[in-house]
Amino acid sequence: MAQYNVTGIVLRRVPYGETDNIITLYTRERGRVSAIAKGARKPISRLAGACETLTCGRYNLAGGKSLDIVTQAEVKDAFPSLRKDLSRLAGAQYLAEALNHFVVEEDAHPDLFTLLRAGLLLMERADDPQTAVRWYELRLLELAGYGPDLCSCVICGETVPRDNASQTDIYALSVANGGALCTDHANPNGYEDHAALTFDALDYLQHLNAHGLEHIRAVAKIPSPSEATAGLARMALRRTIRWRIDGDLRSAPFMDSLLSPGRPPDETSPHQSTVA
Amino acid sequence: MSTHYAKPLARLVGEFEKLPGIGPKSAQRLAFHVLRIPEDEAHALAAAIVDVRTTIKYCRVCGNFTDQDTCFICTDPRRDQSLMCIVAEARDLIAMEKTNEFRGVYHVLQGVISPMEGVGPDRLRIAELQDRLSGGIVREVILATNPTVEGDTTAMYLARNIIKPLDPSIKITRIAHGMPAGGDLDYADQATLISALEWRRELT
Ligand SMILES: [Zn+2]
Ligand SMILES: [Zn+2]
Repeated sequence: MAQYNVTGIVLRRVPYGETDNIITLYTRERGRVSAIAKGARKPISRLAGACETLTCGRYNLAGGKSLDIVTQAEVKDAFPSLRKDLSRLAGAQYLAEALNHFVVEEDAHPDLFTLLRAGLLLMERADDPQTAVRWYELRLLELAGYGPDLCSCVICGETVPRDNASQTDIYALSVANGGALCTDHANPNGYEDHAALTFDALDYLQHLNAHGLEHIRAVAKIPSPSEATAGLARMALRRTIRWRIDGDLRSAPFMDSLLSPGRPPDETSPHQSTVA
Repeated sequence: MSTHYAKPLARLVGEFEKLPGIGPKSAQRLAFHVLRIPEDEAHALAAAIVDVRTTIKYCRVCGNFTDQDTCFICTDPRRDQSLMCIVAEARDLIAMEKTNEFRGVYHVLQGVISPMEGVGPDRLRIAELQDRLSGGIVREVILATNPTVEGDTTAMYLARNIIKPLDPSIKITRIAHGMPAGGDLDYADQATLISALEWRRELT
């Protein structure tokens, strides 16, 4: 049996049999890997801690018949503050689920590992966890090859916002084309593909998008925008992700109910989008 | 498979294979075992399976398994009705009962909030819990969910979003977690040690 060491984060843990867990790891070295952690649900198991969801660890895996087997595991970071804050813990679960949807088995992409780790650190520390989620979504889309161009109109190429922009301008994000739309081409009520963005919402997303993986300290300090801006940014990225994975992330409604209370639940039909 | 077994045997092997954690090998072993036991034992096994399915239901009050309307714990007058232990599953209730330490009553959620699996609070017995807590009888709630992401999510959700808004005078506690009995400090991971420190107790 070939053995190998990886550093990874547990995306998902599913109980198996009497005391085992099947874990899905996102590893720096090999991308997504699934493995069985035998006995990990016994309280005295030495695998239990490291095989818990949202734990970063070092894992020794051995090739098994169908699934690899976790032979040793050591916790590197259990992100303990997440366990004390319900909305941040809900956000962290969303980050893990989102990444899981954009990756396939055994396809190494170290930047995605870095992103997930940064996302979990941000969920622990960011001043505004909702802003941290939006930044993570932008970076995830980019690393998956779907990063939206937020600085020029996908139809005419004009720079957005325009030079003499006014606060009342309405822009949009084209969900299918993955890019911004200028005031002339944005038709938030006419096309189901257009997610409306106010001047402030566009500005907010551009600001987030300018922060790369190396800027997480700065991202942690970005203050929360107005409720209207946060809502439009959330909707635009949610719809972009829905378009890319052709479905909804299951943990989104629970996270939204905690991070954006008072907002109407995320629409399931992409047809209505109005400017708040 | 059907080509190797006589039809009734193939059917039994097939049924066993549907059980959790039972693969084809184990299913065959169990089926051959049934063939070897006396006929009356086989009848007793079959009857027990049918009996449990037709008579066992959920306790109207706490959600535990019972063959009555209300389970034996909820109807026991010696139980302290002001102390409620909330567990995820009926099997957790049984684990707590085996300690012979807890004299209060239970509430079985029949699951945990698991956002990634699409299980939200609406899938748990939370409306029933709100009904019971609004009666003013329960003074302390012990949240006895597992120290997992889902267990923590569920406990925090119940404490902050359900119990506190309903009656802020109810004392809310969570079962301690940290070092397991017989565990080795040297091998404990960061998360376990942080919990163990946090949940430490003064020695008197
Ligand atoms: Zn344009
Ligand atoms: Zn009962």
